[in-house]
Amino acid sequence: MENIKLENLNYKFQLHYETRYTKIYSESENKVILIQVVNHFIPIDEFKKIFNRSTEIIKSEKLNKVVFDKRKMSVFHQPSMEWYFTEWKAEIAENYQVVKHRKILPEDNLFIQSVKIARKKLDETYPDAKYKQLDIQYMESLEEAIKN
Amino acid sequence: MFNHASNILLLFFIILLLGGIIYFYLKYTHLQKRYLEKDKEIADKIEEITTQSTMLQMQNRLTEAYAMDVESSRFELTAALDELDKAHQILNEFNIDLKKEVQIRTLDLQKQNSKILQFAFINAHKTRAPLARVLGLIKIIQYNKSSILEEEVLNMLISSANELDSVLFDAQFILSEVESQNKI
Repeated sequence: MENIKLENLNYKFQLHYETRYTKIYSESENKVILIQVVNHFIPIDEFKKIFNRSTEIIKSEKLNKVVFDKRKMSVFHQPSMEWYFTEWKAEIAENYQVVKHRKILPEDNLFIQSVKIARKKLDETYPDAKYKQLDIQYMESLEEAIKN
Repeated sequence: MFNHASNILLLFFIILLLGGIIYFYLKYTHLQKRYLEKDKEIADKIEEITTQSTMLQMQNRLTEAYAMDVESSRFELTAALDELDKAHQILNEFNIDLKKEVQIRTLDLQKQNSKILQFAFINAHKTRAPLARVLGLIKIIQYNKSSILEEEVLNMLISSANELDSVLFDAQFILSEVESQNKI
């Protein structure tokens, strides 16, 4: 598989999966799976398909950190986020011990505000959810997300 | 007497003043509490409205995005249908060509079949007569020792052999025709 350079970073990424909504890369040195959104929104069915495919890649490449780059997104979808937090994150933590999640948000106040509201609602609805024990951090750049 | 009365008056005035102060203090704290409660209520309302407004704006974006996605899918579907239509046309043309090809091949096969029948007929009948004559003449040579007869029989044998050769040449010609058609 071909090595790809992203944003002039000194990391070698390998492209595993590509749709009109996302590209999924792996970076073996830091054991990172990078889910990079390339569209302004992702319908929930596609969203689930992409993350289920990511699970397969995490399993086969033995990765332990998820970087979710949402900088291209402008549409936030609450049900997708709910599934991603309560089901997908719990599944990969339980089955593959992936507890590190790094996210990069777009520079869009409405989007950031929507994430905050949804997260608050989620915390209230699922007080004992597994995702609360995970290491989830928001980063400013791809480099920062991979390094930290 | 006057002094005593003025003291009582002063005391009464002080009590009245203190009562007034306490009353106004209690009134003030009560009002302040109510204002704070109102403030919180207003802040909560503002937060709720902001949240609803944010969610509504995002919902609008989502609706627009779905509409755009549907439009883009429709566009892709139209393009795919066009492609399918083109492929269908090519397939139709190919089918027509194929029909023609099958007809040509069938005609060729019919021709070949008739040649093969002709060849079979030559094998069965035309080669049989001169060959039978050759065999008969060989028997005559075996049983008759006369040299005059032998010469006559030999001539007949040569003639029959030539006839057989000519028949076999015809058969070979038919076979070569069938072979050349097969190569086409």
